[in-house]
Amino acid sequence: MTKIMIVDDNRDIAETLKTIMEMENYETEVAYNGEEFLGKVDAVKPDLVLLDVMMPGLKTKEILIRLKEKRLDDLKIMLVSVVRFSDEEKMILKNEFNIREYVTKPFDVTELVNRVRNTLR
Amino acid sequence: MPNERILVVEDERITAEDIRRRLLRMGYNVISIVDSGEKAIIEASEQKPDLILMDIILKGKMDGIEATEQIHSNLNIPVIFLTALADEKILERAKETSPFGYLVKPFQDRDLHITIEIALYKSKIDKELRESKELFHTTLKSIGDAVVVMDQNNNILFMNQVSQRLTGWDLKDAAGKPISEIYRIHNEATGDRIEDPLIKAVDTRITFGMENQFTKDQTFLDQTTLINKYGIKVPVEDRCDMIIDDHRNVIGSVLVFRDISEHILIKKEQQERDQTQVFINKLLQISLNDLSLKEILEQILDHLITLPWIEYTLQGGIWIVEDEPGVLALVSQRRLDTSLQTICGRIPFGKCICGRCASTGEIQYTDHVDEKHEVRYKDISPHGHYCLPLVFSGKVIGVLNLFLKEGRPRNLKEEDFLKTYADVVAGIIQRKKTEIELKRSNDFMSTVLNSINDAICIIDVQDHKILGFNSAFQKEAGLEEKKIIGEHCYKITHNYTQPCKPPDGVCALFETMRTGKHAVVEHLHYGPNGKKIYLEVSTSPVRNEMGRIIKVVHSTRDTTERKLAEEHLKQVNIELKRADELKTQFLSVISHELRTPLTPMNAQLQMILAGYFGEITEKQKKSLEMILKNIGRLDRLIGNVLDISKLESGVMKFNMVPASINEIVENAVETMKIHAMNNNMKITLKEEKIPRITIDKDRITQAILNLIHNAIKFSDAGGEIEVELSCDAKNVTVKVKDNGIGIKKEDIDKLFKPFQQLDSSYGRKYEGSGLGLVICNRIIINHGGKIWVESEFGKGSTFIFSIPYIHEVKEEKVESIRLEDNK
Repeated sequence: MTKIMIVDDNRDIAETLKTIMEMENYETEVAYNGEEFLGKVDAVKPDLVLLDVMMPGLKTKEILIRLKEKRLDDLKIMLVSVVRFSDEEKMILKNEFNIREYVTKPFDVTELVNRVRNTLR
Repeated sequence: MPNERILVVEDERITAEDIRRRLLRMGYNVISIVDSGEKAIIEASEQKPDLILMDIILKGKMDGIEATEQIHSNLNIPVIFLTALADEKILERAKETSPFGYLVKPFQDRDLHITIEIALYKSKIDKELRESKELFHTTLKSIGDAVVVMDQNNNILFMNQVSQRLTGWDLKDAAGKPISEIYRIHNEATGDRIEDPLIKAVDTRITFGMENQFTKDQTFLDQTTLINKYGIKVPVEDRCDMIIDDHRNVIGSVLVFRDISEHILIKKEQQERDQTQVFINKLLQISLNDLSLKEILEQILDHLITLPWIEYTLQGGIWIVEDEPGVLALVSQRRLDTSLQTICGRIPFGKCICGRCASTGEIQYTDHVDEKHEVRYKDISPHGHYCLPLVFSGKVIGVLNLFLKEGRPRNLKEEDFLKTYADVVAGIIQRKKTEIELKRSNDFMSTVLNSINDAICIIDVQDHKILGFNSAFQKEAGLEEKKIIGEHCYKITHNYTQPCKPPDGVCALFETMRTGKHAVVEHLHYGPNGKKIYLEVSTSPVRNEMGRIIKVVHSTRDTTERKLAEEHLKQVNIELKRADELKTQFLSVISHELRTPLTPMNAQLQMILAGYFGEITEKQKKSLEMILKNIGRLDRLIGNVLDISKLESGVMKFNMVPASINEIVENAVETMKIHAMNNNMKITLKEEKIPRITIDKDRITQAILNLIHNAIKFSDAGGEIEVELSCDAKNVTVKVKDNGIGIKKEDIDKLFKPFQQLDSSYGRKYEGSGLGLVICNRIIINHGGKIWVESEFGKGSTFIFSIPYIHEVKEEKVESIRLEDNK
């Protein structure tokens, strides 16, 4: 079963995403901050991570660097953010961390589901 | 006495033979014996015997006396007469021939021998005397000096040729006359007749060789002049010597004198040269005085017009070319008439004597006031002029005009002297002018230097001693002038005993010495109270004509205030930047915090609507859709408010990159096409190909989308929207035209201002946040462009914005705050 890891400090959002993904028949695992995510990720071995941006604690960039150190930089990650990224930011994310997928909050559920599906294909 | 050759003239054969034998016995050489006077003459002239023994009574027409006379007329051969009887009459005749002896026949051998020896001796003495006389005469003739010999009564005995020529007297006329009549002399200086030339000559020149010579103080006139027979004056120098016999009696005297006219001329020239030199030296001495040009020229005039040999009226003036070219200005004068001073205060070149002198550059001479003397003034008195051009480097810089006594003749030699004098005066004027110029320049420089707040000093690079400084430097040093000059710069400025050495004291001076260029070094000092003092030291090289650096101008500026202001400004900037960052962070957090609750609301509603949690009724669906719609609206509102805040506060970062505006407009139109179609409207695009321009793609897209969105919103079904993209030389223009409701004139100004609500006459269906155009306006302004609207109420609107191709954007690099910052 395909495993999706949801990382968001807002419990409601995390719960909503968990519900959506489970309704779509994905196995889910939730973490509420960067540290927790990094602690679990090795064991969970997710197929995709929906990673919130601007969580308390570890900064997004730090999380990504730590992932890289764990040689998990080929892990599929979809960033979920309230603000749009500039082209330049997208370029950095793509080149340094191999991140190509973004979802803007508040999101359209159908669109999100489609994006997840496409990414995992 | 061996071998004296003797001619015997005796007509008695026996006597003659007897004499010959006796003579031979005595050792004489008898060269011949003749028996007549005629033969004696021939023999004497041919043989030239040393002695002739001549019988007075001879046969034939000629007796011995007559023969002797004839022989003596040509030859100085001593003759001894032989006679048998002593006839008084004959003896008398014989005496006249100056015979050397008589022998009365018959005579003894002893008598003959003695008489002959005496005669020979006397003849020898006579000969010597004659030769000596000859030598003496020849000598006197040949020497250039005049010689006059006098007896003990001072009457003329002899005068040589020169003395005859100089006195005008022939010896034959002068002989026997007293010397005072022939050698008439007087003292040229006093004009007094010297009555007794010998007394004068003897008195003043006792020592042989002491001549009537010049001394430096004497003028050439102070000397003896001979007035000759014809009244002509001849300057002479003379001396006289006594002729003293064995008993020390004066038996006569010799006067020797010489024409010294040429000598005097040479002396005179020498004296003139010396005097010229003395005058010029005097001039130079005057010029060295620390006086004004006017005073110096006055002294020069005083000096010049009192020169002894030029007959001046003691008046004169000096005109020089001052500020106006081609015009002489009177700068200095002596005893010039007041009216003249006024009239001739300024004289143009070419006018009157002074002007002509200046325009021709040549000396002007006149001996009276004639037609050339164009300028006339009241009470003009008779006079002449020497007007001399003052020439420096081939250029007339003025004239020196001297007033001569009327009729004073021109003297070329004098003019030569005056020209030399004028050249020196010109040199002095030029030098003084240069000095004045230099002083003025120095004064100016020192005024400038002293008015500068920077402390400036000039340092000798050899020994680091201070050569000069300005008042700021002195104030800084807090010392008297004399304590600074000559002191080492490091002592005065740092109180060091050695020159500053890197790295502690990097002096700009060393930098200038190393590079040969202007150098600037900043120093930080701590004042007595620990206060920071920033100094900026700049040094510039001063080179000599060889290009070697000999001095350095050292300028110190207290930059403490500037530095502190800079530091303050830097701090303010840091704080501002920090505030900006905080603001950005704040807006980012606000944005996050506001949108976060919307996210699950939005998603949960969608999930219910999508049937995630089971079937819902149509009414429930409608209700949930309304909530969802308003959540969307709230989200947009939050987005707009945040955008406005960022734009207004300058936090919004523009990512300016070259982009194709055609592509942007095409994409925007494409995006909005579905929305338009849903509202039963049509969008058309008219565009021309435009080169890439530097813009923020996302923001310009946002602006265009907003304008199209508004066009759709304010048009009715069936409306037509035209989007047009065009450009000119400077700008790119985008037009969005609709045929919708249009805008009232009075509302147009409100459109681009935030939260300005238009009245309700536009209808509820047009409700919106009212922030879209405000954001558009801001975005366009940030691109250096402008936005405006052309509209007619009820007929439609055209929104137009234009942005320039070239626009300087000072935006900083986009920061990845969202990646790096926490909540």
